[in-house]
Amino acid sequence: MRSGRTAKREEFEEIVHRFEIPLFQYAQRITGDRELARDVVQETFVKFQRNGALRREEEPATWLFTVCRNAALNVCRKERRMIYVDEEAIEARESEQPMPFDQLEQKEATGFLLRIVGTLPPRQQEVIQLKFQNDLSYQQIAEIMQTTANNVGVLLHTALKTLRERYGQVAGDFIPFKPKPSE
Amino acid sequence: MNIDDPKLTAYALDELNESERSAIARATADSPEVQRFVADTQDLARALRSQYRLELQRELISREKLTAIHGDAFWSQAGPLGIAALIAVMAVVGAVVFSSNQSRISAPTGLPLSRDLAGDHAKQFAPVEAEDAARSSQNEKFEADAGPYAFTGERPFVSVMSRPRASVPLVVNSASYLDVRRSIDAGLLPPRESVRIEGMINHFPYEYPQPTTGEPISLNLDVVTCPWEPTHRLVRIGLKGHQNVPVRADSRIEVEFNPRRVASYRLIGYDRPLSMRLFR
Repeated sequence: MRSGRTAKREEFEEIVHRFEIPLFQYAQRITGDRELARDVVQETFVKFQRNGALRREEEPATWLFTVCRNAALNVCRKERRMIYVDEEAIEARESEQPMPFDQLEQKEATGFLLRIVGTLPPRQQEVIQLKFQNDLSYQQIAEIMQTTANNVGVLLHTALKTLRERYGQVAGDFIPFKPKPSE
Repeated sequence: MNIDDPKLTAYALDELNESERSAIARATADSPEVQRFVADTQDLARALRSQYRLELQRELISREKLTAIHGDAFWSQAGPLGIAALIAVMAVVGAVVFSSNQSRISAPTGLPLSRDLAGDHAKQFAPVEAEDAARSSQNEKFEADAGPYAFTGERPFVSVMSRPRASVPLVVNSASYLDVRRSIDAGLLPPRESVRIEGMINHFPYEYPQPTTGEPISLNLDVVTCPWEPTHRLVRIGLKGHQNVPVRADSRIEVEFNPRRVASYRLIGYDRPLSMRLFR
């Protein structure tokens, strides 16, 4: 029979296994750096364990993404040598995006849709990632991003509209968004 | 119903409650345009989910292993470090090496000593500049191989009587730590020149308290007996800035030691010139 400690440990490892990479990719999008994102994820799990979150019965996703987001923003502030980086400043990073939309050419390549996502303003990218990678609700996303569910709805609506338009520009005549049989 | 209404996206993504959902379903029943919009949105959502799943799988296959996060040994070692956070930390060794009579610091550790560290004397003396170490005559022999991380040797002890003030840049970044980690991850010893002690300290976040209202920073001081030399003291000075207060990138921290309490000191780290690559 498993001891309580073993059960908790297994539960923790399961949560790590489930969220490790989504959190890593989320942190990487905010920090723009794989190495820093690794630390952010590690810090998130350390806090998760220390806060006794395993005893809580609710879904850990909101808690994990919120802590991860705050840690990633802290890293941005720290790495910019105490210059405060707020939401608007991160939004301004749009101009630094490495792949302007008009440079995208490989429309059939796997992940092409996500590359178009990469051309959206950062907060729109964030809601897209939280919604479609992690299946979070508007309300959960609002808590993580410290905004309202209505605002999440507007961001998502705008993001999807832009995605649809940009995809349509490069996709030509073939039917958009229909998953290929192989997927 | 207008297809520019975010409610329609919420409807397509099944984010509405039952009554809202029914109302929209009724309102859009005879609008092919809206129904097409809903179907397109759902197709797009499916495609995004599918691509995110593929991306996750690719990351699983190709990623470097994140720092081993399983096992008690890891948690016992990295836990305390991982919690840390903050803006800047400076480590200073305040040590008594010139006079055995002064080798015992009577003040208890903590804030009382922090006040004693700041004396009224010797404001006329120039501070020891952390980045000046490379230019110090005692370190000249290390300058021959000056490169981006020119190794200049450990900082020497400095007499408080002659140099009561020490100064370090308020620059925090992780470049050195990340270089070291990359090397170790690759199974290699890091180049000696890339190891910056202050980088090893400052990389980690620390849970220092937020500054009180009206104060731009909080000051956090730890003083402990030096483990390898009991007559010395290790002093760690941690600053946490208010998140809403911008600070110039070239700001410096200056610490003044009271010569009545401290005979000499040396900074830990800050013994290599900052290379431009650290300013990303």
